[in-house]
Amino acid sequence: MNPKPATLHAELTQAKQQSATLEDSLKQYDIDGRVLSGHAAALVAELEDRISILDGTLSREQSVQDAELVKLWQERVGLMRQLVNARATRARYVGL
Amino acid sequence: MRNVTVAALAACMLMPALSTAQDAPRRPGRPRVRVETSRPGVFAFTDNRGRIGVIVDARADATQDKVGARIEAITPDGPADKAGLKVGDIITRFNNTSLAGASAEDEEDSGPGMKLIELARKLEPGDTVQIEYRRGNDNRKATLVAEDLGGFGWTGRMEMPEMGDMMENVMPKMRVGPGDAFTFAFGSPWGGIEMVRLNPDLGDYFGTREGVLVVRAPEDSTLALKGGDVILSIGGRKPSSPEQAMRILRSYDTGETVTMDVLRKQKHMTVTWKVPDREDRMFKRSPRMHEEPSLFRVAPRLLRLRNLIRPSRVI
Repeated sequence: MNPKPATLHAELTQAKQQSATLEDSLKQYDIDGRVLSGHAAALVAELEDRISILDGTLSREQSVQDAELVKLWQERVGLMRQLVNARATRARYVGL
Repeated sequence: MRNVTVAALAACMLMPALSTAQDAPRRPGRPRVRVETSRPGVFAFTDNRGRIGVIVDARADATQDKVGARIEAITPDGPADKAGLKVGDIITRFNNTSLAGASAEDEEDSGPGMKLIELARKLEPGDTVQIEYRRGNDNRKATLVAEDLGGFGWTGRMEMPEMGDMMENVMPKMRVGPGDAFTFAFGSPWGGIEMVRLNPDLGDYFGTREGVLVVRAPEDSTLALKGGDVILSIGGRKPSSPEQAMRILRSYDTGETVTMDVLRKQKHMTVTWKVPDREDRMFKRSPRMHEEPSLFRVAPRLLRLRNLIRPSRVI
């Protein structure tokens, strides 16, 4: 059974809010000026690129179904969370 | 043939770095490509269009549409992010074109939002954009430089039972045992390298304001970098950060020769390195480490259990 539109709308709003919160968190872990291992730099680059590609999809998918839109935003939240974790972990490591 | 295509797609999804190396997102000059498979819901295509790195709220909002187009998300490290824009900012003018009050064909769409999308779609990488935006009660201005941020991605569900067989075959050859982790890295020779973006103080000391400083040399002895080297360019492209350096490096294929312009003890020199076989550089067994979580470090047992994959990435 398909979710009700109201449910999808609530999920979409929640995902967008989570995405915005994570973007704020990301600012706290600015990695400019920090020493990065090749793995860490590659991971950050990979996550940024995947988010960028997803954003490209989101910015063009005008006709996408609500359910799919929710999944795309939730996927963005997941990637943003990984990016915050990658930056945060590295920041703590360098601070030791 | 279809199975080959699907297997290739699957490999791209489980090997993100490799796939991205071939596609080289954020790299200008990439040819236009369209890839399709016969399976429903699976498609991919890329373009070289310039982007400013925002997601715009395209739904109509009577109050907000009087002002401009509201930003719903900012692509990390994209042009808008670099210019300091944030979620919730409302773009009021785009290259001197006012967005406020613009109308849309569909009443459910935001006029300013659709107008901004229309204008931004004409951008090429490298184009400069002057924008005005409102944050709270403040009116602000910013200059953005459009970038190729990787083009379209493909999304959708794809069932790939073939993946299970493929990984079952691959794992024994890698001699991955219980409790082992394996590192997937496009450049395991680069794994041990440590780099930092040059700041003005470091730049004065090393005699340059550009490039990336090598703090620790990579493990691969065939790569003649040393701690204290400043990588000024890689194949003619100037890395502005460690991440950008890795983006450039992963764009090279097996057997290709990478040429780097390096500053060592304030003297220019050229370092060349032949990219090793993928088998050598893709997989590397490793004990569990204290390092940061990595997409490239995957627990094999999880892969075996995954017969249903929901990817979202460019191919």
